[in-house]
Amino acid sequence: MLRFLAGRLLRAAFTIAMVVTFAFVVLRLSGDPAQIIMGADAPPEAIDAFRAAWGLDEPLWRQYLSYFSAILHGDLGRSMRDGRDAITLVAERIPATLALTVPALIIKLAIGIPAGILAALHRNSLLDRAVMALAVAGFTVPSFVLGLLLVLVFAVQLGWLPSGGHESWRHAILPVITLGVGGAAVLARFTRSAMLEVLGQSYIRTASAKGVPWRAVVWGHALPNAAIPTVTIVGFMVGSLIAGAVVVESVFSWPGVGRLLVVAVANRDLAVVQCILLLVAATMVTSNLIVDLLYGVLDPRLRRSVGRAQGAH
Amino acid sequence: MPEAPFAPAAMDAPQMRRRGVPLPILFALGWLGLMLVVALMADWISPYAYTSLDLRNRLSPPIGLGGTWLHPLGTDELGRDVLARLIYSIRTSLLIAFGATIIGALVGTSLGLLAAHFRGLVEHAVMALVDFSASLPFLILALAVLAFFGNSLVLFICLLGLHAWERYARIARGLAISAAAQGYAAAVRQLGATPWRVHFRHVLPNIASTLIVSMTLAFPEIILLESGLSFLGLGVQPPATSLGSMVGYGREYLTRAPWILLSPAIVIVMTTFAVSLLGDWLRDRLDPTLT
Amino acid sequence: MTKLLEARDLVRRYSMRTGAFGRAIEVRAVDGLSLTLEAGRTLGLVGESGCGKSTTGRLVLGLEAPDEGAVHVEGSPMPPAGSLAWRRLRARMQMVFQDPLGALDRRLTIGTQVEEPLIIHGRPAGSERITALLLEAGLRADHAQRYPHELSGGQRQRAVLARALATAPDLLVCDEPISALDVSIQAQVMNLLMEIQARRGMAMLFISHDLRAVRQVSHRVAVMYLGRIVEEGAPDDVLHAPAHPYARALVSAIPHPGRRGQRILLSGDPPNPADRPSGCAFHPRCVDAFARCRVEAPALRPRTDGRLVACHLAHAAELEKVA
Repeated sequence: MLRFLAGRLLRAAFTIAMVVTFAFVVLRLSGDPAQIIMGADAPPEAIDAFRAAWGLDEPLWRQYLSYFSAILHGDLGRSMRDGRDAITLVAERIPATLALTVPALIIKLAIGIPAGILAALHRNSLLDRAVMALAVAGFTVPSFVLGLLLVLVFAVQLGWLPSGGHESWRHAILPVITLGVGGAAVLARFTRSAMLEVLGQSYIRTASAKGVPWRAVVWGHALPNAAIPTVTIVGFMVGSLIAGAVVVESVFSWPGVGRLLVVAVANRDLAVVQCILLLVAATMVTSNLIVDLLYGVLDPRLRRSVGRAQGAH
Repeated sequence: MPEAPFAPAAMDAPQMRRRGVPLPILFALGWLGLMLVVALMADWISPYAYTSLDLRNRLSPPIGLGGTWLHPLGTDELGRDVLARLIYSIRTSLLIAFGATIIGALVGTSLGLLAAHFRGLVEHAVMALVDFSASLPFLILALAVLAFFGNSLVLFICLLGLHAWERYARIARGLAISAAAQGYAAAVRQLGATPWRVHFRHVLPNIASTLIVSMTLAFPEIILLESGLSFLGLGVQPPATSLGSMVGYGREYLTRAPWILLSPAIVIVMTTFAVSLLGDWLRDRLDPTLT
Repeated sequence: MTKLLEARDLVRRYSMRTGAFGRAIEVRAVDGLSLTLEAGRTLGLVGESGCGKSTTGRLVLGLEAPDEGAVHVEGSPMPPAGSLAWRRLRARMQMVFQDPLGALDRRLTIGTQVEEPLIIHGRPAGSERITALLLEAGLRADHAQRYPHELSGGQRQRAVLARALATAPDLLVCDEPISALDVSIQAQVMNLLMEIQARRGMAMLFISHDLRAVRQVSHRVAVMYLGRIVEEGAPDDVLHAPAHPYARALVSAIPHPGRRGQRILLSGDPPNPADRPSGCAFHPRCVDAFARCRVEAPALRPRTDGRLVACHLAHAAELEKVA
């Protein structure tokens, strides 16, 4: 088991290294970083000074190494707009993003998974069709449209809830709902098909034919087996929390990491973009790691092959 | 009461065949057909150019809310006709979505087939790229590239094209490997066929249906991605217009003139819905093994 | 009796990992195997699952390259797989597979697939040629328009056969050609194979686990165990008086109505190529094993009566008889 863990950690580290390399390559490919960051009409002395400061006149492999070590030391550059450290800038926005994405995640799990399971258990019934229709609606309506519609109805027409800003918890209601609904829809669809696939297996029929009460079959056999692929997609959702928040934060002017990213991209504030890129990669990689570990616990097939070799058989 | 476990899946299939194409699918096909016609005939059917201004009729509402037939869907803050802009936006968005889907499928399938044919180092390299692709949510990757490279339509389409490439690569590689190991691809190779013949005459046609289903399932994702990015102002840039950017611009006038963003929003939702329905139906018909 | 193909001392190893992080284990699917295929004659290769027969078939055709040893076709070495020379050689050596449905492209008609080798090798094609091939394989002309899934198992195997015969090959390798078929069809396909072979004068390598089928169709029989040939000889001789203990056990397992006499049951574990015993690979299960068997692997050598056996005891017994 330890070897398995070590292997996965190595892979995670490798993935992050790839992302860092990607950022470096893309940064260098996109033109002279000095000109990009300083602007095309900056005076030549400023550009030269920038180059010297960033070591841009050194051979490429050395730049890569110093880039890498800078990142390892937590130096991700300064925001162009702000002048402050990119890391600080991003870090202070994280709580705002979490304030939206964590409740949204809870909604996704609490609504999506049970809906999918129920739909699968009552296949082709009215409940199933209703859940599926809602799920498709949730999936095909993009988050910004949903968000704007909610604002239109609840803030503009009905005046119940505020439409933007982040002063009180009431401001968070609409964005959280917007975020949660889309994910719940995807999760419902996925859970349903995972359950359906498990329910179609022979061992379920066998258990039922043996006389095991249906409830026990579902809880004891179907759910645990359907949990395995579901865990993967939940892991993916957790890993892409920030990505989901990007659009919603912009719609509701919520000062989180997502909104920061959009502004940074529009202004080509590369240090901030880079920082957020790494943050997202780290989140995704950690989430995948946890999923892999859970897999090892949940799926006994993996446990056996991962243990020591048992000899000829 | 939960249904009995012996779900009559086997009975579903023949029923479906006898009924032919179900009604929702017909609607979906109809809608998509309409969208295609609009996109292709934009220059002929649009009442105005999408940039032409009618400053006397700014923010006029659509028919039914007090507007005139001069501007059936209303106008925006510069007096530009919403219907005209909608028509051209449909064309832009569909163009991008088709282009990106095809690029993704081409790149992904080629890499997948290369990986399957050569195995070894090539396969490892491709799988490493697949891993990398899957390690970041595509939106973030796209944003990063847009930040670094700025924005041009060609770059944008290529970028979006890469959104689902690893799915096609995985499918192509998996199916090609299993064909090669024990199946018809090995048999044809043993007949003396060149690798080209094996892949183009045999493997590709066999995996085509799976790939096409994948493409129809990925298409709506690209529409959503493009409209999301355009909404944020990072996708299609003015003077060009797309469905997402129309929503983005209409946002300012949410309270005063909601029709500016409602019509493109409705088109986005309907189109995505139609393609999703079609994709699901195609998948059930052609390749139920895909999730 | 000209030598069409000769395989000398073939060794084929695979590396296997036990589990995700286990040690790499070397599996010798084929371990020092030599055989000769004569023009117009059938060699039957028989053995249980996992003994390496299919791998042997692929090595003989050159689909895989041996790790040691070599295959020669009429004196010239087998070209590397996939090379132009190898592809050209395919016109002369073809294969019939165990799973006919898998071997056919489900999207193309039978006619198209039967014609394909002719197109690949630039031979005259056309519907008459296709019809002739189909008829020879026992199908009807209208089968050319059908798709593989529309045919029965036996018909599919006939289609695969027709395709294999298209370029009039000198050698046909049949890898378990009847195992996937119904018993009633098996006999028909067997007869067809024999007929075709006699008529065309093809050499054949018939690989199967079914001793009776092998006996019916072969001019010579070789018994394989764990990657080696342990006995080789004329079919009736091997069947009535097997010299190798393993062959004896195999023969005794053939059901015979009304036969008296004991069935030899082998003790010990079934052979595992990843965990090869030392010395003679069969010794852990052999009733007659003695000290030398554990230490030294016996070579496949001819007895005085022409039978090739790889067994210390068989040769020792012979020496005794002579002495």
